[in-house]
Amino acid sequence: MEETKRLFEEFPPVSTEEWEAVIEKDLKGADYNKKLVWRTAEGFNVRPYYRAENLADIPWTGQQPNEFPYVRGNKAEGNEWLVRQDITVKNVHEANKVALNAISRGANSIGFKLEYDKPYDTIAISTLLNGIDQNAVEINFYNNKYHLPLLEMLSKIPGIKGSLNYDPLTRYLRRGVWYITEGADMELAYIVVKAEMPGFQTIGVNSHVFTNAGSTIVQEMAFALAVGAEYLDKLTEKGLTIDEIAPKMRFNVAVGQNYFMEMAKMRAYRLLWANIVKAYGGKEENAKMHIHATNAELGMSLYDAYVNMLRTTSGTMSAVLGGVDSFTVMPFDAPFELPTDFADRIARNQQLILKEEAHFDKVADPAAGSYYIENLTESLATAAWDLFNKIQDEGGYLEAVRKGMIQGLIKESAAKKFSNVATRRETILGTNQFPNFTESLKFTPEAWVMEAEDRRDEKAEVETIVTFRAAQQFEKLRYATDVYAQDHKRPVAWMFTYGNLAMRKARANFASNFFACAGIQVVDNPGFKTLDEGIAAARNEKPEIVVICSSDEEYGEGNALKIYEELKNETIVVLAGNPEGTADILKEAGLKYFIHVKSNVLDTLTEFQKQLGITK
Amino acid sequence: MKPNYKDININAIPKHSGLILPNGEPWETSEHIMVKPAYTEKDLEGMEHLNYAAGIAPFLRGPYSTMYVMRPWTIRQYAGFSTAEESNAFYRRNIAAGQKGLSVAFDLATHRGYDADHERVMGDVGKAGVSICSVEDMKVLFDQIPLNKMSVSMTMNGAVLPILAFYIVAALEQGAQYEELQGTIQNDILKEFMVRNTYIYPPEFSMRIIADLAEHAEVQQHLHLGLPHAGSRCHLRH
Repeated sequence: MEETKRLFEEFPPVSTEEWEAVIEKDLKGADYNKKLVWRTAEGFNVRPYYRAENLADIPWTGQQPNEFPYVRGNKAEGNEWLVRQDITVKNVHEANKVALNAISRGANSIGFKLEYDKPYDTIAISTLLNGIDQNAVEINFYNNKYHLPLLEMLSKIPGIKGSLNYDPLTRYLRRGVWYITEGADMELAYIVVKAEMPGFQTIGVNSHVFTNAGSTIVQEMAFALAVGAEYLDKLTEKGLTIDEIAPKMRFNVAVGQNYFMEMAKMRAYRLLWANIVKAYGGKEENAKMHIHATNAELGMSLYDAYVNMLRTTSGTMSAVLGGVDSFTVMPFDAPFELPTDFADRIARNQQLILKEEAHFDKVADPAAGSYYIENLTESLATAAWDLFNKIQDEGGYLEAVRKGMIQGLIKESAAKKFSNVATRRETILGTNQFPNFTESLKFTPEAWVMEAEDRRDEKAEVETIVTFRAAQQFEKLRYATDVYAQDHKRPVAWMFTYGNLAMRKARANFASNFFACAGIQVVDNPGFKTLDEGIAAARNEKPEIVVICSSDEEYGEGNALKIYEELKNETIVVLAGNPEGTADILKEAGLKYFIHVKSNVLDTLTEFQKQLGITK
Repeated sequence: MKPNYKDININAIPKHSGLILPNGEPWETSEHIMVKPAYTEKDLEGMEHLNYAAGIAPFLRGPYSTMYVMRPWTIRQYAGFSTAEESNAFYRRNIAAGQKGLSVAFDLATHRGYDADHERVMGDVGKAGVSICSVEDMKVLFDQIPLNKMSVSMTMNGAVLPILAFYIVAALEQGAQYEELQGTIQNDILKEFMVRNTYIYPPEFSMRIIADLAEHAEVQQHLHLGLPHAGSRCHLRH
C-alpha cells in the first residue's frame, strides 16, 4: 500500500488500560460490574464498550457477504429486501383490490391471510391473483388448512414465487393436535417439498409463535432451529435429500424492540442454520436460511397506540440491517382491530422510507465489523446452539414438546416477562410508564384484544402454549377504569406536595405516572406552604386518593403522620416513597400504601381499583 | 440419518472462499462519497481511528468514557410560546411525561431585547417562542421546575446577557446552588448576524460578549453552562 500522510498524527491510538483508567475515575468508586455491565435476559453479559480487540475471537470477520455460513447474509452486494404487505382475506375481490393497490404503491410481496377452514377453488385463487405480475411480486399464503388443494392450484401458475407456510410442528405446540396424524402430516410435508415450484417455499418454521409466547431470543432461536432440524430429520428419513428439502423451507421470524440484539439474531440464525444443513450433507448454496420477518406483537400496546409505529420502525430497522429476505411491518392497530387503510399505508411507508430515504438497501450486511454487534452475534449463536443441543439430548423438538421441556422454558420466560412489566423492570411506554394522562379508550375493544390467544384443541395430546401481549394486563386495568368512568366520576389521585421542590416534584411525577397507568385522573399541585393549607385544599376538592409528596426528612417530624391522621377518614392516603424509620411509624398508625420504585405497579393498582369499587 | 450436532463446531468458519465480489456500481451520495455495495475487513486496512476511545482525545467515540451506559442523554423538546405561565404549564406536563431537560424558545421581541409592550414588536410578542421581559417572567417560566435538577438549553443570542442573568437569579432564588446549574445557551451571534438578523450589537461587540460569557463560565468553574457558545448550524441550512 502506498505510504500516505497520516491524518491524525497528534492522536496516538488509545490502549484499553488507558480507557479503563478513565472509566475507573468516572465511576467515582461505584462498582464496575453493577453499574456498567448489562445482564441480559438471554443469560449473557454485555460490556459497556467493545473495541477492535474484541473481534479477535470472532471467526467470520474475514468473510464476505454471501459466503457460507452466511452470517453476512445471502446477498453478495447491496441489501435489497422484499417489502411485504399482509392482507386479511374476507372477500377475494376486495383482497385482490387491496393487493393491487399495495403493489402500485411500493409493495413487492403480498401475504394473503386466508380463512382457516375455508376451501378455496380455482376461481377464488385466480380472482385473488388477478392482475398481479408473478414475475415482479412474491405471493405468500398462510393460515388456511387446505394446503394440498392450494398447492395444486398454485403449482399451475408458471413462475410463481413466494411461500405456503405448511408447519404442522409448530402448530402441534399451539393446538396440541396434528391436522390428521403425525404420520399423515409428515407425509404431506413430503408432498409439499416435492412440488416442482422453484422459488416457492412450502414448509414454514413459524418462529414468531415462540417469540409471542414470551420466549427469550435465545430460546426462540433454539426452538425454531429445532423445528427446522426436525423437518430435516423426518423428511430425510422419508427419502428426500437435504438439497431437496432445505431450499423449500422458510423461517417466519418475529422481531421485538431489543434493537441491537434483534439485528444480531438474524445473523446468528443464519450461521446456525447453515451449519445444520451442512451437517446433513447439503450444498452450501442450500444452507442459506430464508427469513421472512415481521414485528412481534408481544410488545405492542392498545393505549397510546401510535407509539406502536415507532416500535415497529425500530424492529424493522433491526431486521433489515440484520439482512432478512422480506419483511412485513405490522400495522400499528393490528393488535386491536382489522387494520384500517391508514394503518396499512403507514406500515408500508415505514419500510419504503427505510429503503428510499434512509438507503438501508445500499450496502450488504452493514452491521458487519461493528465490535458490539459481532459480539452479540457470537454470544447469541453460542447460547442458542447450546440450548439447541440440549433439545437434541432430549431427542429433538418433538420429544422435547412431548416431555414438556419447551413449554416449561417458555412459561418460565413468559412469567418473568409479566413480572418485569408489572414491576417496570421492563418498560412499555404509554402502558406501564409515562401513560398519556388524557387518553381514554374511545371504542369498545373486542374480547380477544386483551386476552392471550389460546389455540389449544380440546383433544390436545400435549401441553400447549399461548401467545400474548405483555401490555394486556395493564390494559385490562386501565380499561376497567375507562368503563367505570362512563357512568361515574373518574377517580382522582391528588398530589399533596410540600417542602423541598426537587423531591416533591420528583415524587409527584412518579406518583402521577403511577396512577395514570390505571386511568386514574391525576391532579398535581404547586406545593402547599403549610400542611394546614394542603389539608384544607384536600377537604375542599375531595379527591378519592391523596398522595403525600415531599422529601424523606420532611415526611418526618410528624408531618406525614399529621396529614394521614387528618385525612384518613375522608380519602385513601398514600405516601410516595419509603422513608426509613418514618415508614414504620406511619404503618403503625395505619397507613397502608407506600408507592416507590420497588412497588409492583400492577398489583398495587389492582388493589386501589378494588378499594375504589371499580373492580371486585 | 440425523447428524451428531455435537460434532459441529459453529466457530469453524471455512477459509475465505476467494470468491470475488461482483463489484457492482458504487452509490454516489449527495456528499460525493462513493459507497460500495459491500464492505469487508480489507476496507479497514490503514485506517487510523480504529483504536480511539470514548472520553479520551480526540473523543471519536464520544466525550464521556462510557457515554450513555453511565448517564443517558438528556431528553429535551424545543418549546416555548405565548406567556411564561403557558410555557411553564407545558414544560411541567412534558417533565411529568418523562422529559429530562428543557429547551426554551423565546419570541422575537425577547431576542431583540425589547419589552413586550414596546410598539416596535407588537406583532411578535409570544409568537414562535415565549416572551420574557424580566426576572419575574423567568421565575414564572420555571415555577415548580427544580433548576438544580434540570438541564436547560436556551436558544438565545442577541439578548444573551439579560436572559442568562434572569435564569441564574431565578435559579438561585429557588434555592439552587450556582454549581448545580446545568445547560447551554446558544450564544452564537455570527449565525444571528448572518441568517436571522435578530442581533442587537454589531458582530465585533457581540464577539466580545461571547468571550466574556465564556470567561464567566470558566471563572465560575461550577457553572456548567455546557457549551457557553453552542455553534448552531441548523439555522444556516434554512
